[in-house]
Amino acid sequence: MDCLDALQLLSAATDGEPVDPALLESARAHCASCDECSHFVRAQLLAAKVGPPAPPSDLADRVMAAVRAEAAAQERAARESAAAESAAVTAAATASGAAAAADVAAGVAPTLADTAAPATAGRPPGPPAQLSAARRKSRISARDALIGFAAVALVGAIAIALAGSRYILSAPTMNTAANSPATSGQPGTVPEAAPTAKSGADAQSGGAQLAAPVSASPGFITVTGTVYRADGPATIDATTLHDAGLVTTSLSATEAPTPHTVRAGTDPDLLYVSDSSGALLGFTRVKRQFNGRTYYLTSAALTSLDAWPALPASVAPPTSPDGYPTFVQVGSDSSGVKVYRLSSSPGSGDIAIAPGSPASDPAVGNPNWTLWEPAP
Amino acid sequence: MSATTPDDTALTLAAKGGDLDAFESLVRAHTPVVYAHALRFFGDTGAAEDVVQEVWIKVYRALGAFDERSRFTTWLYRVTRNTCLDQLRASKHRPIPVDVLDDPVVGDFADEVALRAALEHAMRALPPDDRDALSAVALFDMTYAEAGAELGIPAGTVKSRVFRARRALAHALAFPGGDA
Repeated sequence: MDCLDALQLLSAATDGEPVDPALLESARAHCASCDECSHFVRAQLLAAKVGPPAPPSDLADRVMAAVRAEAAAQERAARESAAAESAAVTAAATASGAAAAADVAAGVAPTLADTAAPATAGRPPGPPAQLSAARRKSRISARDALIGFAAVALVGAIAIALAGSRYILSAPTMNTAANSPATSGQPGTVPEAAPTAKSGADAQSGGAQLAAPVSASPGFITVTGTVYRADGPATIDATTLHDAGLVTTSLSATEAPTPHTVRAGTDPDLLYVSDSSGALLGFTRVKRQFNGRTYYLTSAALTSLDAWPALPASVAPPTSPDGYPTFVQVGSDSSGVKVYRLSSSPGSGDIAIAPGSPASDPAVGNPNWTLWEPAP
Repeated sequence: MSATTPDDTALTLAAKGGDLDAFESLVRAHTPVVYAHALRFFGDTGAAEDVVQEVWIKVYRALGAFDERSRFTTWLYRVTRNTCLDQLRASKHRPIPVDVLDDPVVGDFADEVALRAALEHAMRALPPDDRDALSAVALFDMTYAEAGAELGIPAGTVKSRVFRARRALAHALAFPGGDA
């Protein structure tokens, strides 16, 4: 082994790169008998001994002072922005003179305050660009949700009254999934929004998002742990489909959980299940986006179409509205919905969403924490 | 020097959640390597301190976008290197030419101060590409592959540059190495 080979090998080994142990031993032997190479080795040892130049002892303090000042400024800006928005909403409600709207606003104002306070008072302000924006978006979402909720509830009530039939609206019982506490919903009824939201979401520490009314599940099945949402009767040519496994679920309020054949076509996000009459029901995989990646909703097994997806049995539901101790917030998505990761294995890649996400969210209406895995 | 540890991952997640104490822990753990990189880039302590401040403010602002798919120190290296280049482009600071520096103290390397002065002088005299590669690997504890990805060069080129830098340092410290 010549000098160049020996020194290159030692340099790579110093950097933790994999090297052949036999070659490394040869390089060491060479250096022991070569003055020039031994000088090289001594130089590296000396350089390692003195280390890099040390910064002034107060530099980290100065950095943190600047960071804290930035955080405080961002926090102030967020508060002022929120106050302005709140004033605008109040003014709009007053101007409209709509008594119903005013009642809704008055009833929910404490919810807004409760949601904002822990995030701002209980801990130092976080990364401003993300957290402050998320808070602003949350407030905007809340306001939109309040305004929209009355209309949605009215339309929903009319729809339920008019709907004649099929399976989804025939069994609007509340969540029966694994990590959900018992709810007060009765079969055939739509529970009152506020009390049910509290009993469902808050009991599971679901206050991380703004509280949203819990409604009947739109219908879900789980296939190999991934959740698919019911689309209703499908019109696809059944001869183009192939068998893709079995799912055990009840497709109506009167049916016991029964194995049903799952069929698939060319779109990997769509599945089809035949009901007892032979009609095909379509299901679409539930997905969300975060940081440029696609995530699939996972769940404990759902044996009833009206059950809401819930955390897998291996994941304990949080005991606190901020996800503690199961989850830690890692940011917000583009809609301002807070995104969490597992505290125990943050590198797993899975993300979690708290109950009460807004109407635009794929987890809307779900009173449970949900876990989402990265798409392959 | 600045290897990402499990602590970094936990601290990063906590800092993302708004925990400034966790962020401060990251600052205290990694400021030395950011400072060393900047000082070797500019050769001026004031400029290096400015870079450190700017780097951490940038990290704080962008922390929510950091997705843990790369190591924290890899990301920190990228921010640090770009901040130095940005300040150079904006003419906020200019590297002090090595040839106008005082001659390094040579000879008695049992004296740590003399050794450090000679070493830092030699570091400043390295070609920037070689110094960048050495900084990524030796300061920020990146693998050749990680450094190559950050610098846009093959891992083999990183290996060559790091070795060339080390050999130049050995020569500068009057410890000749290699014969190529």
